[in-house]
Amino acid sequence: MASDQETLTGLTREEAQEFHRLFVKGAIAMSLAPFLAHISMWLYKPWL
Amino acid sequence: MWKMWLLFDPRRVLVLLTVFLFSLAVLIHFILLSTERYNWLEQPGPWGGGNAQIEVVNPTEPSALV
Repeated sequence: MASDQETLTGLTREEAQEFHRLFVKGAIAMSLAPFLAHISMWLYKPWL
Repeated sequence: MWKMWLLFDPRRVLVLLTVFLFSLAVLIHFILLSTERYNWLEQPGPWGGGNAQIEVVNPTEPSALV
């Protein structure tokens, strides 16, 4: 990076870390629904 | 891992992820709809297993048309 402050995306390091924490939380929450859907579908009609 | 946000713009990643996951979900639902086993619209009973009886009548003497 050119200087310590300037990054490619314009986020500071703290902002990137803060965003990452929220992003991971959201990713886990968003993958909960398909996970439950697959479990219930498997119990109903296994596909293997 | 968080350093990726110094490379990839979060707004673009979020938009791309949304569009990609939505289209993937639509694709998979349509694939399932195209199957017989997982087509949930053409099912007789919504969740119960419907059992339909079909009686096959075999003609004894040959039909007149032959």
